[in-house]
Amino acid sequence: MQTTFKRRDFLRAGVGAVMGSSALGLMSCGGAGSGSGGQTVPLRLEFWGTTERDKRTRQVMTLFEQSHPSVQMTSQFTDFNSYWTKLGTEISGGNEPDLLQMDMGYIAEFVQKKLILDLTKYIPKPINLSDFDKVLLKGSEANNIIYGIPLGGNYQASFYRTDLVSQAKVGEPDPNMTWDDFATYAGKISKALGKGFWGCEDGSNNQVIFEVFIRQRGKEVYTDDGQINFSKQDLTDWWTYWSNMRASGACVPASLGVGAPLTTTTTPSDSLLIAGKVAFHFDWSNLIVAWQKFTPHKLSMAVFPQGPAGSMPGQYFKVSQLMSISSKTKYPEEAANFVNFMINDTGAIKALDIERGIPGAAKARDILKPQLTPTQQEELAYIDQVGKYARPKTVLDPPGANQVVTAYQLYASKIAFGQLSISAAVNQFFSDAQKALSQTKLS
Amino acid sequence: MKETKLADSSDWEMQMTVEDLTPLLRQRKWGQRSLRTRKQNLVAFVFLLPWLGGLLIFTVGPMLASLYYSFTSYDLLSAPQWVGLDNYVRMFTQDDRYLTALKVTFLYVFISVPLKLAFSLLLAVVLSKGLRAVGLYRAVYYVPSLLGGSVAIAILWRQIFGLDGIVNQGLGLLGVNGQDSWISMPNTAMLTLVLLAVWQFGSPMLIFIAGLKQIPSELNDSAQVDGAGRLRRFFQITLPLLTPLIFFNLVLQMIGSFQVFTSALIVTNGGPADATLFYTLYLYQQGFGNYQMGYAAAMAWVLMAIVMIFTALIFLTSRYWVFYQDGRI
Repeated sequence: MQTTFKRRDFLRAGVGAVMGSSALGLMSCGGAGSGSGGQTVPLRLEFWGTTERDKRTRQVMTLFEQSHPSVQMTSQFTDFNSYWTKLGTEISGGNEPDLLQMDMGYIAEFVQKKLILDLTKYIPKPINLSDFDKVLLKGSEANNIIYGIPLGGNYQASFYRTDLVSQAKVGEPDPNMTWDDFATYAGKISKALGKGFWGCEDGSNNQVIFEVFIRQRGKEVYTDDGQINFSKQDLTDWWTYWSNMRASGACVPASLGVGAPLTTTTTPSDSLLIAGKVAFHFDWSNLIVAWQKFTPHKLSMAVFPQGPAGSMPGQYFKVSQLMSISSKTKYPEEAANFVNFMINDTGAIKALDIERGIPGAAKARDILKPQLTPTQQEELAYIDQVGKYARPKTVLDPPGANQVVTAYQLYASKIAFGQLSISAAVNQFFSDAQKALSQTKLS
Repeated sequence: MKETKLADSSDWEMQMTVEDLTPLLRQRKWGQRSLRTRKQNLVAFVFLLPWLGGLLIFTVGPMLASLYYSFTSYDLLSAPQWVGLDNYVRMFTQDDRYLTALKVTFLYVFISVPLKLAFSLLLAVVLSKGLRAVGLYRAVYYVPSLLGGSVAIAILWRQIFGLDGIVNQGLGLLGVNGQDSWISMPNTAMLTLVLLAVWQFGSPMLIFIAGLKQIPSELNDSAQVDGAGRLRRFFQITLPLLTPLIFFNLVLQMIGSFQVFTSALIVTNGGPADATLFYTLYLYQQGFGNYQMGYAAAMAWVLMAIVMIFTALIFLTSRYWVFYQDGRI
C-alpha cells in the first residue's frame, strides 16, 4: 500500500495555481491592422446596443455601401459596460475603430486624450445639420466644439403602471406636482393597494432623478472644471426626503430598493414595476418601448416631480448617443460621409427608426411619424410635452463621474440599511467623490 | 469550478516541465553525452516548444506586464505613467472600499472553505459505502461542480433566493413569511454566495472518495474487532489517513475561494451596500469600469502575495496535522 502524496507535489500545485491566477493575466492587446489595398476603403464601426440595434445598423451600412461602392464596412457591438472595456483595450493596442458610438458621460475623457476628431471642418459638408434640433446639438458639445453627432435624444421620465394608478383611484399624475405632493400621492397609492405594493421605487440611489432635483435648485451637479457643484445641504435634503418616503411606506423598503442587485444580466423583467409591485419607476424616455414589451399592462410616462414654487425646470434633453470619428482613422472624409448618411438619408432614417432615441433632424421626425407604433407615438408625444419642464444642460460630466455615482449609490444604501446616519453618509460621500475627481482631474 | 480546473491543469504542466527538463540539466553537469541522448533531448524540447511558447507569451509576458503596470497610472487610453509605489500606498491608506473588499473576501474564504470541505467529506463517506447505483449518485453530485461557476447558475441562484423565489415560497409553506429577498439584504447576501460555493462540492468529494478507497480495510476491521464504534473508527482511523487529501483540497479550495468572481458579479454585483464586494470583483471594477488599470494590477499582485502567504502558512502547519501512512512527514 503506497500513498504518494509528496510535499513537492503540493508545492507545485500551489505555485501552479497561483501562476494560473486569472487575475493577473487580464491584459490583452489587439493586433491585426486593416489591410487596405487598392481602391477599397475599409471602415469599422463599433457601438453598444442590442441585436435589434445591430440589425438596424447593418441595414444602414449596406445602404451606404450601395451608394458608396468603394467603401467596405464592418461592425461590432456589445452591451454598454463591456463596450468601454473593449474600446479601452483596443485603443491601448492601437486597434481603434474608425467610427465609434460615444456617450456624454465619456466624451470629456475621450476629448481630453484626443481620441476623437473635432468635426467642425466636416460641417456643413459633408455633415449637413441645417434642420437639426439646436437643443440636442448644443447638449452634445464639449467645450463648445462638436465631437460627435447625436443619433437621438431623450428626456428623463417616470414610467407608471396605468392599471395600478387607476386601481388606487388617485387620478393621473399632475405634471405640476411638487416633491412633497408626490410623496403624498405615492403614499396614497401604497395605502390603496395594500401590503406588498408601493407607490414608487426608492430614488435615493438613482442618479438620474437626483440630477434633476439638483438642477431644479438652479445648479448643475458638476462645475465647468469638474468639481462637485451641489452642497452638503442639497444632498442631505435629498436623502432625508427618501428616508421619509421609506418610513412612510410611500416607496419600497431598503431590501427591495437599494438592496436589489443591478448586474450585467438584470433586465426590466427583474424590476418591481414589471412585477406590478410599484406604480412608478424613474428612467429615460427612449426605454419605454423596451419596458412596455415586458408587460401586457399599459405603461405611461409622466414628468418628474417639480421643486417648490420659484424652482427652475430640472429636466433636460439628453443625447442618447453620439457618432464620433476616431482621431486615428485613415479615412476621415469617408467616415464623415457615413455620419451624414446616418442622420440624413431617407433609407437610413427609416432603417434606424427611433431605436436610438428621437432623431435630431426635423426631416427624420417627419419621415418617421407615420411608421411609429402606439408606444413610440406616446414617447414622441411625451417629448413634445416635456419641453416646458426642461432647461438645456451645458456642463459635461467630468472623467471620474462614474466613480462619484458609485459612491452616491453606496452611501444611499448604507443609509437605507441603517448602517450610517444621513449626515455621516453625506460627509463620507463628499470625501470619496472629491478623491475620485482629483485622481482623474482634467489636465 | 473554473478556478480549480485552472489550478489542476497548471499543476500538470508544472510537473511536466520539471520532470522533462531534468535530463537537460543533468547533461550540462556531466559534460559529454552521446549523440543519441542529445538528439532525444532535442526532440523532447521541440515537442515542448508550443507549450513553452504559450507559457512565455500568455502567462509570463502578461504577468511581467502587469507587474510593470502596477507601478504606473494607466488608464488604457493613454500611455502608462510611472508612479512608483503610489498604487500600493493608496490601497492601504486611502481606499476604504479596498479594505471592505479584503474583509469581505476573508470572511468568505474562512466560512466557505471549511464548510465546503466538511460537506464534501460527509458526502464522500456516504457515497463510498456500497450503495446501489452509487456511480449514478456520484455523477449526479458532481454535476454542480461543472455547472456551479457558470453564469446561468448564478442567474438561477438569484431567482431562487429572490423575493418570490423557491426559498421564500418554501418558507411560506412552513408558515415563515419571507418579506425580503435573501440577496438584497447585507446580512444574508453573503450567505447565498457561500451556499453557492458549498454546493459545488463535487471535485473535493471525488478526491475524498478516491482517498477513502485507499484506506486498508484491515485497519478498520481490526479496530472493529477491538470494539471501536463507527464514530471512533472515523475519527481515529479514517480522518488521520485522509489528512493528506484534506491538506490538498484545503490548499486548492483556499486559492480558488480567494479568486471568487462570477457569483459576486452576476448574483449581487458586490451589493447590497458592498456586503459582497469580493476582491477580484473590486479589482475588475477598478480596472475595467474605472479604467484604473495600474491600480488594478497592483491589487492583483497583493492578492497573489496574500494567497502565497496563506498557502505557506498551511504548508508550515501541515507537519503538525498531516499524517502520511508510510511514516514520512
